[in-house]
Amino acid sequence: MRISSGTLYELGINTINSQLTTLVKTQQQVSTGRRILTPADDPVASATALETDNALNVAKQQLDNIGNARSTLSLEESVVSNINRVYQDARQTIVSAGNSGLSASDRATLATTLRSNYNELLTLANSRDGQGNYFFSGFASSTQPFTQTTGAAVYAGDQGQRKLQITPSRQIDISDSGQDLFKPGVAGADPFATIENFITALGGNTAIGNQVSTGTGATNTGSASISTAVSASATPPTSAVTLTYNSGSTSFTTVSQDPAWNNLTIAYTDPTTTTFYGVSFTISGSPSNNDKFTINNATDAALGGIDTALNNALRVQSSIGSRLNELDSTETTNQDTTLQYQTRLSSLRDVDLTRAISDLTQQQNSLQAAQKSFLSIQGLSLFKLL
Amino acid sequence: MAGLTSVGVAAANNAQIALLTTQHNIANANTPGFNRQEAIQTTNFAQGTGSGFIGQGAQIQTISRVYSDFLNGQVLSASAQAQFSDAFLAQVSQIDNAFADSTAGLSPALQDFFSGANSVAANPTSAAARQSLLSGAETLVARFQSLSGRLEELRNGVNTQLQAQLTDINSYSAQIADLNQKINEAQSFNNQPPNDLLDQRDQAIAKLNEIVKVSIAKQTNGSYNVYIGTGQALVTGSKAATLALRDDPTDPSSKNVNYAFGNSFVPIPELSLESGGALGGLLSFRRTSLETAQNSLGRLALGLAQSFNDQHRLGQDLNGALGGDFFNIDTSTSPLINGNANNTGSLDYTFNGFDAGKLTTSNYLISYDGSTYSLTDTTTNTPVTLQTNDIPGLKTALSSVGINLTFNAGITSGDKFLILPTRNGARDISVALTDPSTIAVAAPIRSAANTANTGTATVSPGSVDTTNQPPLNANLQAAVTITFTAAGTFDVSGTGTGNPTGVTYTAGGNISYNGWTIQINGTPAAGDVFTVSSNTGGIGDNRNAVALAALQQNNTLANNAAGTPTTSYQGAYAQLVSTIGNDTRRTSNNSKAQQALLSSTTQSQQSLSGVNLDEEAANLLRFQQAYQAAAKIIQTSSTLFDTILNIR
Repeated sequence: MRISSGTLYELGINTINSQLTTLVKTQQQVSTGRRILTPADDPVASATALETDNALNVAKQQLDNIGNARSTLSLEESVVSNINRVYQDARQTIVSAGNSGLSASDRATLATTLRSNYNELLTLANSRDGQGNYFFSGFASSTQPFTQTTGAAVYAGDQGQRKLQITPSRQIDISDSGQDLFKPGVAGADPFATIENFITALGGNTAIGNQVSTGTGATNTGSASISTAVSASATPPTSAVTLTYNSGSTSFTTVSQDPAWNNLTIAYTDPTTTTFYGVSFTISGSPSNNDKFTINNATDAALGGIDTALNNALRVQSSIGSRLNELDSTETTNQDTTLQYQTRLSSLRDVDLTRAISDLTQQQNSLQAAQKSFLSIQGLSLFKLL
Repeated sequence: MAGLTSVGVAAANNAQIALLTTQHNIANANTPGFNRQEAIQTTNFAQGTGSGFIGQGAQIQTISRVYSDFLNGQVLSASAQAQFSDAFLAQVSQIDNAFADSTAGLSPALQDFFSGANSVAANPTSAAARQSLLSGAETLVARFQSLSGRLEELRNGVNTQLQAQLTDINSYSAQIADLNQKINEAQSFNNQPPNDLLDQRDQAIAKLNEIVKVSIAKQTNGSYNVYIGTGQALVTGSKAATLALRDDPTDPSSKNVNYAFGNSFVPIPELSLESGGALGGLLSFRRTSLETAQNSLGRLALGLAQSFNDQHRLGQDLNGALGGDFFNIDTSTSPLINGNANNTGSLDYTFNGFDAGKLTTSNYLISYDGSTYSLTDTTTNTPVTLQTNDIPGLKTALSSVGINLTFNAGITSGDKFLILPTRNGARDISVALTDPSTIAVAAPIRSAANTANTGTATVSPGSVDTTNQPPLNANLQAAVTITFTAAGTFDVSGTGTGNPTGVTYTAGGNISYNGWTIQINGTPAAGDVFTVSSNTGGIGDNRNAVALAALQQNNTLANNAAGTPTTSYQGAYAQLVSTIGNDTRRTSNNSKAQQALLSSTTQSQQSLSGVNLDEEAANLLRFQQAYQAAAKIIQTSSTLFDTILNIR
């Protein structure tokens, strides 16, 4: 075949150019550590890499969320365990108040101790996290949840629970509302009311052993109420007495573990004052059928209230504990997922260095060969011999 | 003896002509488009005598160029395709590079933005977290705008390059027309081929063909008629047409190629020009890859802004106000609605927002012929079927592709309007919020169980429905009370609920009124009461922030036929990158193949027509020797003559 002189040059230059292009690309791969320099190098892998990168980012974000959830829950858990301790302290004070030999000044001392328990409880209920948000006010995190008013602490928060996304399909509660933890306003379960009532009882001139505590059934629909007169000679029941109204016979009947108080009947007209074993109590208003009232000795009633509150706090504490456990196991899973995404991303995007460097050497050699052969062919010309 | 001298002189002349031809070849060895020439030598008529025919020497019949129409045609064809691919590749690889960088692409900005949303969900009241979400949004918008600006530059660049190419085309066609004329004259002068003029014309055609693929019709007088596209005449004999660049009547941002006849212009169909040449490559790039990139990026930006806004509007901010728009969309150019330059009327419409999931990456043309309205998807070039061929039908069809328009008046007969819903989307979004406290992190409602409840039932925090909202239900925040009349039934009371009674209770089932949904679980007792009310003061609530953050992984775009979104933001971006990557890869491979083909056809053509200097060096020696031999003939003739003269 005839070769024109122009073709000789062109072929030589073209070969050198294309070799140089390949060499530069391999060099770029080696220097950046990336196999895919532009999406055109491997469109499918670059799209997959983008999506994997996003999934990795989401997984990392959820690891952050887990960290945030854990720190919030751990703080809350320590507050709740302090609340438990206060309940235990209050319980001891209430038990010791039952001692019949206590003088009025002894009772006053105990009342002071209980008041400090009460205040500590109130402070804990109004605890704030590092950002100044109240733990137990639900969504209204800047509203102080409990405010002391005469006779009780009033709850100003709501029942909201904040959540964080910890896996694509799971949101975990990172807060508990004061309503759930303290049951404010719920008869027999509100620790503030229980302690407050007992402090009031301690303040009287009567020994705690002679005092009774009354309660109104939570489901009452009638308007009747109960009150007692404190008497130094009263012998209160040893355990709770329930009075149930029967509208058919217009009378109350009692049920109690204390046999002396069991199965008594009180005919009712508005108002009726009855005295049993020195305990005088008055029911007034119009009760509905099945409305209930309770009478108990003051110590037993207060202990019952504190125990309910304690159980409630323990329930919340164990729920926090199980959420922390879930966070731990989810974190392990998420870390695994993250690692897998990273491995996948690396296999999609990163260059195999050993191979790239060996390619680089090979391409360098080819380029040098092309350059040398081009030069030597260019040296051949008849005109040199003329 | 006189014969001997004249043969010798003729032979010397012949050798001289051959030497001149060789010297011409050597001198033009590097001239582009030069075809080597050779002197064609033939024997003279022999003198018939009784002794037989006595040879009378040789003459140069003609000087011809070594040229093959077939090979030249192959080079032209390969060169048009190679130029097409190269021009396309040069453009598309710029988009490819813009999307390539893992730190400068859209992906990191998108991820940072959602990291911000997650921090806000973790710390709803933290001003720092809220600010980081706003800053992330600003960065994201800036990234969208810079990518969009890059693509817009490419579109403008195409216009500039087209202008330069048309100037070249006009210049080459004028040259060809001029050469046609000169060749005609030269040939009629001595009926010999004007080799160098022919080379020049072939070269001008080759240059023209690099810009736009041409076809050639040879005329009997030696002129070439040159056609482009589907037979549009560019050069006819000694006359050349003029091409001019004009605004597209419906899309002024793109310029079209037109014939210019004085002051009137006739557009040349764009598709017909895409058969080859650099001009075709540019037009094809603009119609396919650039359009896809701009529309996909715009769709992503608008879809993100719209769906994020939709969720944000379902929330409540730090001040207790309902959420507003998080992103602004400049609705003056998104959607962009261009009236055709020849329209007699205008479009009177109100734009009512996009539907993120339904948005496509297509452009649409509305036309009205006086009796029926029609809608065409100009990207896929398919008509969109209207249920009724009137304004309401048009409105429904447009809303089915995510564009909610209300037409305030009809369209003038014969008018056309091009809707570019997403072209400017990436440029037209901005962050609407400046005050971190106005980020709607909380949900506007909350639920509560009455403290006196005796049953064990609990109520979920409640969520705001995303279907049919926004706009929010007017009674969303109205206080609603659910009272159980028995363990299995409840009554509902509150504004907007219709106060139904005796509703059957299913544990964990959805209870939805006024645009919210709650679930009640467990066993309620008769008389138990649950309430849903405005989330006043609920600044620690993060429900809406969690929902906003979840948009990162949720599918929100590209609804399928069933109306379910099929891809996430990141997915849509990955799809765009993959499309551009594939376009680039395909064009790059094409370009390599076309270059190889061009190189091989050029080699064949050069193998025939190119100058080989070694060959010319040998010819130089050969014709030098021929000249010396001819001189010897003359010398011999002279010696013979002297011999005669010396006879005494």
